[in-house]
Amino acid sequence: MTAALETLPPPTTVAAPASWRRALRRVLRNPLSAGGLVVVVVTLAAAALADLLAPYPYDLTNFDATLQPPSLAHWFGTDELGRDQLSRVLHGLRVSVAVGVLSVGLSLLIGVPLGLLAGFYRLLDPVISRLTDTLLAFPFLVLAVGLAAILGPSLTTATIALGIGGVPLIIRVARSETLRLRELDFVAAAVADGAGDLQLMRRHILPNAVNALLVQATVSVPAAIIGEAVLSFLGLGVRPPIPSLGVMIASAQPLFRDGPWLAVIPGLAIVLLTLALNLFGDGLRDALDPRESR
Amino acid sequence: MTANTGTLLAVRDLTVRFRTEDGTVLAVDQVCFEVAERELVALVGESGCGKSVTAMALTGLLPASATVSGEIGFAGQDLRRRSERRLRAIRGRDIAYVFQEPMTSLNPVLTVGHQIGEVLRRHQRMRGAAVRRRATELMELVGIPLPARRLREYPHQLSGGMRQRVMIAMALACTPKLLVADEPTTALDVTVQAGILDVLRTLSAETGTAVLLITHDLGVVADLADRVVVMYAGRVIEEADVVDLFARPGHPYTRGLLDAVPNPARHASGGPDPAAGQGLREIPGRVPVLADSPDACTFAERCTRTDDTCRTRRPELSAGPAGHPVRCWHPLAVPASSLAGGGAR
Amino acid sequence: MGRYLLRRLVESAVTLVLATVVVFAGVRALPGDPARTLAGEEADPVAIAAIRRRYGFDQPLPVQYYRYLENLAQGEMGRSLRTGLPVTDTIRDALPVTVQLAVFSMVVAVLIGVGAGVIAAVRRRSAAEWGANTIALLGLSIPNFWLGLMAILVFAIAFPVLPASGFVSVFENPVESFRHLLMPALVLGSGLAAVVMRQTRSAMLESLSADYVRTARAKGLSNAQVVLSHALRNSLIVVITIVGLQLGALISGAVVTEQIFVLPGFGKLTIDAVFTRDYPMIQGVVLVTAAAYIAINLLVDLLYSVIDPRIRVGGAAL
Repeated sequence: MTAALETLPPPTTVAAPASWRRALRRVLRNPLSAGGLVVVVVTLAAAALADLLAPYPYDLTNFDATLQPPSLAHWFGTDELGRDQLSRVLHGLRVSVAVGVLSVGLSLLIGVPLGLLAGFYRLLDPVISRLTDTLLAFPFLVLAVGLAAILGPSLTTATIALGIGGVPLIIRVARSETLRLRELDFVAAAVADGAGDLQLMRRHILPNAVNALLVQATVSVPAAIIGEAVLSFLGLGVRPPIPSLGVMIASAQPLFRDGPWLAVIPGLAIVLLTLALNLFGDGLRDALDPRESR
Repeated sequence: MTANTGTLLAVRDLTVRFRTEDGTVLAVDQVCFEVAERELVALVGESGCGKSVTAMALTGLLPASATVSGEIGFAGQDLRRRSERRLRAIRGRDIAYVFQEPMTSLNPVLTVGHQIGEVLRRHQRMRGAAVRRRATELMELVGIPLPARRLREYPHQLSGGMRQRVMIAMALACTPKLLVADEPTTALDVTVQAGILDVLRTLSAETGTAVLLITHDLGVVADLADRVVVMYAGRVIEEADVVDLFARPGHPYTRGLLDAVPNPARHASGGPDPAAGQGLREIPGRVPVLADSPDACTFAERCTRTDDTCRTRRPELSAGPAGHPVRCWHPLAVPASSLAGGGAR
Repeated sequence: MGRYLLRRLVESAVTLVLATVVVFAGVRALPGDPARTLAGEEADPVAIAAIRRRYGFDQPLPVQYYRYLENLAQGEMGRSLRTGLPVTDTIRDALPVTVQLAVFSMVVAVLIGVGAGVIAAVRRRSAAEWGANTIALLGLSIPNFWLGLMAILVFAIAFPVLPASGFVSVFENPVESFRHLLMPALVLGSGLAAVVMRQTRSAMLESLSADYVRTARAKGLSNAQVVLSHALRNSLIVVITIVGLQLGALISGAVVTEQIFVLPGFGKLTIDAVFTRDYPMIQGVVLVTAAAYIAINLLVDLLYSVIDPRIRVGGAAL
């Protein structure tokens, strides 16, 4: 959740279709971010195909093989109920990715229009900014708990909580991009041509703000994935029997001395996925920044 | 031109290449020129012709992506062979710079006095009150009113003209032998420009500093320069005394530059008539960006006097009809009217 | 600058008021009878009635809100359902723990972050830059709680050098305090260090390519002077702002860290309150956190205006 508060300096490009391909080339040229992209794609595929790839059903208990360290039969070992950890991790990844992406989508859905409005209309700006500040002032956890108390803990609740928690950052980015783009000449030209407010926002400002928003999204998604892990670690998110990486780590705590791999492996999965996303996001941001050709 | 002055700066075959994403770019192509002591030489050309790169190359201020070759003779040493440490000693003390954008060229979070003082502390080992005194002196010299108070102010509190005067003060602090001024007035209002040019002219004469003035403004050249070096696409294409250049330009490009200056006398009342050769004259086309030095004249595409030789053989600098070096296969003839006067000032 | 300050003060006050409204509304939004919620599941009708009267749940909402503010002004935030102790006192006892942890974490994070950021910016395209950058990204990619568990696994179980839990105040016993807080501070500070490092690097890159750095080089200043006196000076403004803002995130990150390392701080208080549905405590904790965050933001803005002469001394005669 610390990570979620980082707002990266926005790239100063005005997006053009040709520059996308160039950007992609630049991204792939950097081995770290290319590697990150590969890992992300592989993980996404694995998560999506969890049902097919998992060697065992994730809730199949086997009391003859409890607390087994990693072996050929069980690549990631088994837990105290004999459940195969590899299968559980695969399904857990699916949950992480789903919640990560959906919650950021929700943040964008709410945050982008609000940010656009705040940047566009001087009168609305202080109102929206104060609301954003207020939202930011609350400990994210309490927000999540409040929601859990009202809606009951579940995947949906976690998604909504993370989504709302991510809104202030998106508003900030959208707003600052709108303020910046508004001053540029091409907007003045469009206005002189008779473009209305809605048209301006939709056809001129929004497409050019996409860069900065995309960059912010690549930071928000990994943060959301970690957020989901924290929430489920605390018992506020996904409920059993659906496995979540956070829940797995939580239940591994009392078994620390007997089965350390139970806590280590799910955590490593989170780290791997998040690191890959961050590396790719970094590469993408550098690629979209015109100053990079120095 | 004043006699008895030795050569201060002798640039020979200076070539600069940049490594970019899209390949190598040749920015400066075997440039040669000299600046004598106490002389004011103008380096003229359009944006992109390599004049700023040349200026930065003198003391090794180019980024790591630049490859520099050639010889830069300054006060008896080849600057290209000097170590970074030696170059640092020369920068600011023997060769000083004034840049184009005074707002961004000064550090916004340090006081003006502190920034002037930096040069004094670095090169003359001055400390404390002595620094403040000398800085105040310098600011007075460049014509900044209430200098003692200004010492404590920040760049954003000064006007554009004032900031540029501060830059000049910083540059002249250690009485350098050569002052390199890169478009010092381009970013300023026209009304302020004259003042700055005045400062440059009088101070350099007073302190005996030679000046390499980089500009694309021919009006400034006419006002200040002793000699002019014209550059195009990284090459020197003409070199002459200022009067000579304006009266008897040899290169078609120089002629084009001179013609492009708006001249109210050319327009009869009732608006310009293009058919009669009136109105703004421009040189069609754009300065090429080159990866390598072509064996041809780089101006060929835009020139009205081009022929096959121009396109297939690289012209060298040689004495033109007016007597000064021109790099052209078909330099302009000398207009009859100016055959009478000489080049003396 | 006075006008700027005034504006910020007013904005903060507004936000604070909005926060109290949200907290106030929050409890009442929960399903069920608020009086019973505040009194607890086990409470008898007399206690419930007393609470109802005290907070005026039978009164119209605006009156309730006013009562609420009144109580707040007197420092009265009710009693914990779990312990029966006054909320105010409990919070006051727990805060120093979290503050010490947060300060320690911040110092660690800033030292590592700024140092690594400067190095990464100066040594572009070198192994050092990539290394520093990747480690920073790691810091952002590792969940706090997992890092804490791993740290305990290594330093408390595998090679028992540090205690896995417990808190000792630095004012009582500095050495023991250091031993107990080292792991939590490193764990908590890792995320912050990563953010600081990246912001420092980004700000430094921008400063280093600025015109005034070109001027500084042209004046013959040494590399160290250029980097430190000029580039870093300008970057610090941005960095300080970021660090100040991250303090808020630090406090919420402390929640989980304190849970893992069993530190009796504000964060643990929050979690316990939340899980035991200790509503008076939740109310108090949330409000204090919100107030602290708003206050920190205000301080950072003030600090910013003091450090950046462009804001401090105002505009020019152009």
